Amino acid sequence: MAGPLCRVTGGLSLVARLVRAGGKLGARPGVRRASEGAHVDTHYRQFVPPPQYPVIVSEVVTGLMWFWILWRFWHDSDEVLGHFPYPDPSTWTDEELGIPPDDVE
Amino acid sequence: MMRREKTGDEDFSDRVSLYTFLSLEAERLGAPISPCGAASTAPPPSPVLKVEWGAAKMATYLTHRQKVLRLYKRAQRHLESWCIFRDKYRFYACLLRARFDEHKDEKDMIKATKLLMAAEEEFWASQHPQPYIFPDSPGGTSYERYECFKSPEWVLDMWHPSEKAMYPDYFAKREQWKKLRLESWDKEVQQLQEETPAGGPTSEQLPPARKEGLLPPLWWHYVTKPRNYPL
Amino acid sequence: MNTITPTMTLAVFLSLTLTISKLFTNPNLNYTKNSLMTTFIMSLVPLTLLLNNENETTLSTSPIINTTTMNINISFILDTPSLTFIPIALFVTWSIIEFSVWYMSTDPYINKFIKYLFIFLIAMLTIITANNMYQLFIGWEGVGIMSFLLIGWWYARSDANTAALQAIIYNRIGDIGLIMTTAWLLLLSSMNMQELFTQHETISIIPLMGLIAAATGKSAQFGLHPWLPAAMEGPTPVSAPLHSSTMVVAGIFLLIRLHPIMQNNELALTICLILGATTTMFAAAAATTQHDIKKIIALSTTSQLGLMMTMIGLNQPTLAFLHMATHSFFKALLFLCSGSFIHNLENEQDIRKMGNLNKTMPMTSSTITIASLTLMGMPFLSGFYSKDTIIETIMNSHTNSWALIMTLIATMFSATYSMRIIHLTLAGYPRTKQNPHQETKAPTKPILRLTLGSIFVGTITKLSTLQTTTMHTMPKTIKLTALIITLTGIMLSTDLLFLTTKQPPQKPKTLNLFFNQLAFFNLLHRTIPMKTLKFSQQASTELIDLWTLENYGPKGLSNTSIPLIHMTTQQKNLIKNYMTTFTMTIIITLMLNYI
Repeated sequence: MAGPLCRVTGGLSLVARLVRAGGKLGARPGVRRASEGAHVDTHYRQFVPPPQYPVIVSEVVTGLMWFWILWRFWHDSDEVLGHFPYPDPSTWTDEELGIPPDDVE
Repeated sequence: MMRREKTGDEDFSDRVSLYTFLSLEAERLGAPISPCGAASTAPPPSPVLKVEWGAAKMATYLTHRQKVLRLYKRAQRHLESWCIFRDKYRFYACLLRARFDEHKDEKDMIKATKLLMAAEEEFWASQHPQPYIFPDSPGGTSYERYECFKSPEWVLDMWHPSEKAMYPDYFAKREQWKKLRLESWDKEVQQLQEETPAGGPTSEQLPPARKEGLLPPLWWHYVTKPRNYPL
Repeated sequence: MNTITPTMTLAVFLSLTLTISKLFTNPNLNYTKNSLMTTFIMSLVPLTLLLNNENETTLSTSPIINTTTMNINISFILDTPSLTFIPIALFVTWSIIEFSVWYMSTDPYINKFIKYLFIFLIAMLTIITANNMYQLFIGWEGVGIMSFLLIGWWYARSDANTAALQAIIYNRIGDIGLIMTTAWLLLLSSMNMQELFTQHETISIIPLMGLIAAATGKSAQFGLHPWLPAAMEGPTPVSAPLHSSTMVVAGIFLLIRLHPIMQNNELALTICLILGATTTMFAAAAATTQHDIKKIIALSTTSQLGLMMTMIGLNQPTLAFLHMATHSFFKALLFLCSGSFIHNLENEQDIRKMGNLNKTMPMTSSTITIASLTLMGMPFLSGFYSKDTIIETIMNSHTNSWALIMTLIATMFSATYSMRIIHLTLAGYPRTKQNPHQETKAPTKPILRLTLGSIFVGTITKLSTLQTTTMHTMPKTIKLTALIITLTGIMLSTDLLFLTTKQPPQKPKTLNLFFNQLAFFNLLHRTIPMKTLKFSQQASTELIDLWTLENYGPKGLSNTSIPLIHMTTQQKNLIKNYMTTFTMTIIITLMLNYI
């Protein structure tokens, strides 16, 4: 399936070898691919390792969450840390407040 | 007095004999015996002979030994609810066991009864407010959950002949079973009548088959119990 | 005039109804699922129009019933809350129905189950779009009845029956308030929302108390709270939409909808505030003491509902609505994940028996972690946008510092119980038998969809104009309070769990017992029926058996007849007796003749 495409481009023949039936990644003849989740290996007093699909999806979903949090934090950190600096009344001078100095009669 | 065995105070000899008899009887008939789930296909033989042993024995008085055993079991279960991690639980379970073992050779019944009472009080004070209950046990989260999907087995007799014809093997076997029931019914009743004491039965437990070639009383109800989980 | 909005909304209703009727002839649940998806996409059209134009629509038929004082018609209000919540309810229910097709696949009556869920959804949409009190009441009772049917789905279980009855009876107590308010408004004001809102000055506290009672019942606020944890007897796909995301928020939605008549009444608002603060604190504390995963999540729902109630008490219905919207996603997600766990562990619901699930179920583990983080208010996930804003608003308000403290404690507890679930289910070593990987595509598709929802929905509400609160400046401590409190909760939970592995088992504290048993409300509702039944039993056994049957029943009959029999059977061959009888008869006959 992927063979002709790779042969035309030439440089991708390595990929073609991997993906072709019987190759490293491709469907192997003689290896049964039953419906997903149905095939369970036996392990003595051990967990059966979960299939690839959920593991990959779990990594992707968690990664998406962290990407979203960090990306948003980079761009909108003021939503967490406060939008504007809060004015500190103790630094306000009398001049700004319009209070006349004490010695004014 | 305060001795205890790991297997608890139930004996399973009755159960074994019942199953053996059924198998033998089935061989005689030339059909492997397997319980029929009502109105469904034949279930696996695991829930065949499930009897409420504890409940059956509750009808009689408990011996001191039984009381201690039950207290021990309850205490361990509640301890398991408190200590959810297994390593910690094992440690405290050993301590609890040691406390029970301390008085296992107590010969004085008055003292033993007082000890039991004190232990019951301590258990009551430190019991778990939400003890762990197995999902299928009474009070558990899936106890009797699927009862509503079960139907009694006599429903099969009400099937239309055309429906019955769809499962010829099963219904042929069932006819043999019913014949067996008709044969043995009188003997079962006779056995029950012979074994019942004068003042009525003292326990809800049913006796096993005593003689060679006889079936245990009321075996039909065990073998036709519907399966625990519907298909 | 915008005709697309009402057309599409009515099309949503029609499509749902047709899907139910289609289920009778075509039991293909794939079709049902897809039609629900289509309905969800349809419902996005009015929402988009709303976000663009900001115009609200009211859709009324000509009056069905004409009386001298008022006309009753079918009327839909299509404003921001309703048009926003319709897609949310559809999205959540779509995911849940897809999940329940997998979860309930062994159930013989799965079609009926799906139909119930659909009817429930229609009732919920009726509440959301109702423009007069009658219509609202129809939807209100509809969700009540459907919740009764669905909680008691496994009707052979006595616990399920009890829970179903409990739900409907507690709801009924609240419904009395709603009926009373409706009657009051019928007499003194108007049933129609718009007319009602114009007269808000004249409405007294009594109908408002009725409304609050109704919301207390439906949203399981403190006092009428026990039914919500008990409702976890239903199947998990029922608990997800009904008792977490959509149905129980109906009470809060009622208050949001009728908020204009409440906003000037200080007393009503204060009651809401105190009720909400009590509920959120109490439920969160109770959730930390429970062991059943579904009950923990249910109590967390109650806690969040209390938070929404607090917002109503602070005169911020938009914030309450915002929290309602984001809460739907992550709470439904939490329930679906727990359902997946429960299915995997063969109906085991106790978190004491779980553990190490992230090895066997990595995907569900990561989604339940995301859902819990969202619930805790992790920045930039959905829950943050509503929860953080709520806490800031409470911190900045000057009404009631007691309510503030309660809410803060509840926020801390919410982090605690969420972390407790995560610690006990995902980490550690397995404590019960686990089925090898059940994470097929059927259950994970809806879970992943809801995960995306709970990550992004908050930002979407922020980017659209839904969130109407203004940005105002505040000291950094106030701004960071929610985050600090949550972090404290997380650390507390981790530390306490670590400590429990070291401590010897101790006697339970009374406070623990108080929260574990939900303030002993069970005693109240168990005692009354118990007493009544005991009394009836006593009456029937003692009165009837010992007295009536003795004196007037068969025994009485025998008592009266035996002397008569004795008298009539005087055949004792005594000649004197016969002689006496003859002479007596003759004398009497003669006397009667001559009188």
